[in-house]
Amino acid sequence: MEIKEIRQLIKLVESADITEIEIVEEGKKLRISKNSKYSAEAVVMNPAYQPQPPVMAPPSLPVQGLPEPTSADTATVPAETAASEYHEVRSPMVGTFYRAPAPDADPYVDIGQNVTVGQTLCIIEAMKLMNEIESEYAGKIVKILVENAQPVEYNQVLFLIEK
Amino acid sequence: MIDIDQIKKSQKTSIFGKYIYYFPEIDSTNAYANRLAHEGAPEGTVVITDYQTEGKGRLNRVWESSRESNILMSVVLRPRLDIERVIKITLASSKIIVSSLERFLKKSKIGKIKFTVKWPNDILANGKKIAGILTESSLRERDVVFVVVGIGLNVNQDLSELSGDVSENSTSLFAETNKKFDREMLISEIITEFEKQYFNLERTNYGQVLKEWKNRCDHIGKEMVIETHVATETGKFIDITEKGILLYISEDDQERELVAGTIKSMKVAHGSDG
Repeated sequence: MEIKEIRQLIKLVESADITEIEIVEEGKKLRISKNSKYSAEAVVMNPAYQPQPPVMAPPSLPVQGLPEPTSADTATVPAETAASEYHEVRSPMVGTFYRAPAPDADPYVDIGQNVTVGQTLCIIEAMKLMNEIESEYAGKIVKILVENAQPVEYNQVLFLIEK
Repeated sequence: MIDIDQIKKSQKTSIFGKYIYYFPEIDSTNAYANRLAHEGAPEGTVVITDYQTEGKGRLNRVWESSRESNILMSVVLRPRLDIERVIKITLASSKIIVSSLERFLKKSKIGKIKFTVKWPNDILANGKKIAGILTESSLRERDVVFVVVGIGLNVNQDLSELSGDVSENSTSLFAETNKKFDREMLISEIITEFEKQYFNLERTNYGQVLKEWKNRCDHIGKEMVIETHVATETGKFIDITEKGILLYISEDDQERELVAGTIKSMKVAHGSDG
């Protein structure tokens, strides 16, 4: 098999929806394999050899080089996903957080409850001014991060709402 | 019984009081006005009652008021006010009530009552509490959706009908003058004054509120007892910040803002605990 033919085969494998092709011809075996990370590469092997798994990493990279960024990726990606799975409702002011309109009244919302845009979630009292905090999001309340009647800071997260 | 037609005849407004909801009895005018505002009630909508079954002071206090004696009303506002300055609505409302009372009493040819304001939401007559403002706002992100200003004003209240500790620190127009007053005329005066001053505040971005409020406040520079979440302490009331927050000197000589706390008592000119 000539180099020209091998090149054509490589191009074929690259463009085709296959990952590997193996051709046995005149006592020689040619296997062209591509994987998701790297472009198709040709491995010409002597038939006496046992087939080897295709080389995954470019030889210039140390073998230990790969797992590290990979594990770092897996550590950060799910964290970002977790944060972006929820809308955060934050306190627009310093004050006192109340979950109900009066001490003996039912709370505005509970965990697991679905809320709509504009629905009142809580009250922040500041200087005897009762501020109802409306939801900017529709979704399910998954977490309430402040206890009733506790002070809250500006921009403190009060609720997590599932997207 | 309050005669709404009489109020409407004498009020000189274009927007405020155009819609007046009257109930002989209701849970709370603020709660009803709040529901109306959520449903889209326009600015200047007024709710009035003769008796509140769940009259609200602050969260855990009731507002005591005998049946058909006083003014219990709420006004819906939709101000273009920055969220951090929404407290100015409370301070401005105190000032508006004081102006209304003075105009009303002048017309009634009574002028011997001294009205002052106490931070943040009380109005005193000769040093005793005659009215309270309870402001409730609805916020979405950084936007003020609406504000409800609740006004409880003791007009013809007989103080002996109030519970001991309330009557001790309260007063009414009747208690101060020994005269009964026409509530409709006073409500009309308040609605008229509210529209006039409110539109002026919106136009001038609430620039004069603090100055005018401070002119009416006689406890700046006085010692007071402050209750916060963690402690009770004494402090000296020194000023109001640009955002409307009370500034005081604490026991350890630090300058602090009173945000999540309340004034339990203070020494005012007339020696009342207010």
